[in-house]
Amino acid sequence: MGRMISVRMKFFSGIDKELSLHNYNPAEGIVIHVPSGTRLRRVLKDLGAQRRSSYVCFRNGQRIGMWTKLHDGDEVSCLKPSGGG
Amino acid sequence: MREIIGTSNRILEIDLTKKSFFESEIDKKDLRLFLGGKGLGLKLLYDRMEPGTDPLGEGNMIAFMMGVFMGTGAPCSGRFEAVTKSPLTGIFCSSSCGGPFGMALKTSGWDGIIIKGKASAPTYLVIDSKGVQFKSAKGLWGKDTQTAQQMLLKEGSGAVVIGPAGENLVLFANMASGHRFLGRGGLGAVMGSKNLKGIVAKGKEVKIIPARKKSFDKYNRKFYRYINQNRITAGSYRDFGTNANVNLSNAAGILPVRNFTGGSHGEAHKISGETMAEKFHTQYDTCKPCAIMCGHKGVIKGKEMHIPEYETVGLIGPNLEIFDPAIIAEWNEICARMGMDTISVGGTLAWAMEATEKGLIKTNLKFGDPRGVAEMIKDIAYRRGFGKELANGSRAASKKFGGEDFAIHVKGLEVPAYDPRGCIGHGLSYAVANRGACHLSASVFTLEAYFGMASPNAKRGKHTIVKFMENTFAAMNSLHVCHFTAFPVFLEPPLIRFSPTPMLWALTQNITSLALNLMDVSLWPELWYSIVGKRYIPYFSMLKFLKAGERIHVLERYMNTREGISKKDDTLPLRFLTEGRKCDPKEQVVPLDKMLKKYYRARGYDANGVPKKRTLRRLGIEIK
Repeated sequence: MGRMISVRMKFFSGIDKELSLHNYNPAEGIVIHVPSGTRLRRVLKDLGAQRRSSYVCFRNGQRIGMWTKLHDGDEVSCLKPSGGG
Repeated sequence: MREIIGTSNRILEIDLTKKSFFESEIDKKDLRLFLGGKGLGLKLLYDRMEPGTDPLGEGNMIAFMMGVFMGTGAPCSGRFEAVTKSPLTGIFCSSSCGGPFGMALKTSGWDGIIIKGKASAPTYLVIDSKGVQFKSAKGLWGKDTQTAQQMLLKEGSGAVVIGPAGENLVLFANMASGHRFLGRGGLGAVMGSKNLKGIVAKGKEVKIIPARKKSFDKYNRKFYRYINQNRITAGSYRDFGTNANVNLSNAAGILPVRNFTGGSHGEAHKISGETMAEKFHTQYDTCKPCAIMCGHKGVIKGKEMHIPEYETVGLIGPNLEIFDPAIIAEWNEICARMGMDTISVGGTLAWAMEATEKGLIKTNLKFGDPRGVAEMIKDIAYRRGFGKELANGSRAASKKFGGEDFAIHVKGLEVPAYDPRGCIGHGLSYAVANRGACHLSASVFTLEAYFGMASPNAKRGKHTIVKFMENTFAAMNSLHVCHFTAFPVFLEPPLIRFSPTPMLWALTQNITSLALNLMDVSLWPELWYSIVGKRYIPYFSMLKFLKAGERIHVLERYMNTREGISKKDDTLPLRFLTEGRKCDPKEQVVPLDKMLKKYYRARGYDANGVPKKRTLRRLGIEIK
């Protein structure tokens, strides 16, 4: 197995409830430990996200896709799409 | 009930000075070329007003235009447009509003009203199918927007009013219809300058029937289907309202923080739509007829209140470093009752906080401290104390006291809640938007920061995107239909819906013109043609629709160049051009110059940003 990395995942737009994350704190998110080189898609699948292809995800202010490889120390935010107000 | 097939084509022209009115007919050619709503309002004022008119003088006119869609049962069509010369910017400005007034006026048998002159004493108007009654507003003057509307609704089914801010000529005063507002540009002050407290329309006197009902029903069903399957209109907006954008803007680094010095904040989630839905047990509170239902109300500190919209939350929340949603809701309610644009209030207060910090002015306002803010908002509405200075907006205040480099406005209109350093195409759109800093003129931040269909930091193709979106939204605001219907109309046609986002990004970024030509926005013109009764060839109807949008946008620009607008005004606050956001280690700024040159060329403007004569001729705009 490759080196393990730590990634902080934050979920908004009710995704935390869909993933049944109990006592979830949106300020802190959850920290997961995965093998280095894991793609975002795998992380979301393992967490039980059903409609992950519709999620909008950001890492450090930049938009990323499902096939993006994650690095140690990343903070990833996942939301549902919206359009301005 | 009398039936109107298609449109009545009737306009009421009202002279407050003479207390007279007459009916005029909309030229069928003007309806075809300018569609209605915003487009027709601009054309009618272009035909009637001279450049150099004082926005707060008797010569200024206000056109309230209803649009062809209203009254037909098309979804999200209960919106109307007002066009006038803005006292905040000194140029032409249009604003869109939901609420009950539009439907009341349309079902009184009118497609619009134009108001000129000045009443000799506070006045309100009662409109029915026969005409206008001029009534004394002595008992209404001084009342807040909600109380004034309740009083007027005894005489009709929909009203539009000003609050104390409009009466006191606050330059960013708005007009209220229900819980919706003609928000931007100080249209409320124009009405106040005319001693006009409100207008109430009887309504329910006529029924609007589309001329080609079978065709209308078919496209109307498709429109509802698109709205109900779109993830934004049937998802985020319904669940969380427009504050679904708080966490999204925060994650994208474009949330306004501390007078636009930062783009994200660790406490943003506290004022998000998700938090408010849970904390305030929100329920729908929407315009009618609305299929999206983005508006919500909730119980805040024991009182039922309208949940503030995203722009309000952004500008009087993190932009002032306030993260308590109950406090923001309270300030929103004060602005709503006083009748003031919350974007301009937030932008002006943020300037005042930074100016206080830097010792340019003496106030008790501080970032992150709510004390004194509610009182200052009321002082602005009543033009008392230092509120008198802030009532003229951040541009005027900074010119007088210093701090122009951190007065965040374009052409005098304060910047909405999307930091353009995280979406540079949107920065171009702020700089060139006709009424000043406007997030609705082209809404490019959606493609760049939210949808991932364009690179937020790349200049390439942005001038083409801005032009296309401006044309589309100018036409859409002339139909008239809610801006949010753009999401289902753009995103639900199969070609876009089933194309992977990375492919759409690659196309939009590299072959922008082709990508935009693949956008199918034909649903809007198909409905328009079926209401007015014209036959059309699909696809060509869409081209005519987009050309009408181009015509409307360029006319508005031309009218503003006649007021003195040129390249020197198509710029951004210095902060966006020279400073990075605190959340961005690369300190990206907006590289405006190169994008602006390409934009002018694409638009057919000269190097100074003035529409060329051949552009005006091509679009059928009379050169004056």
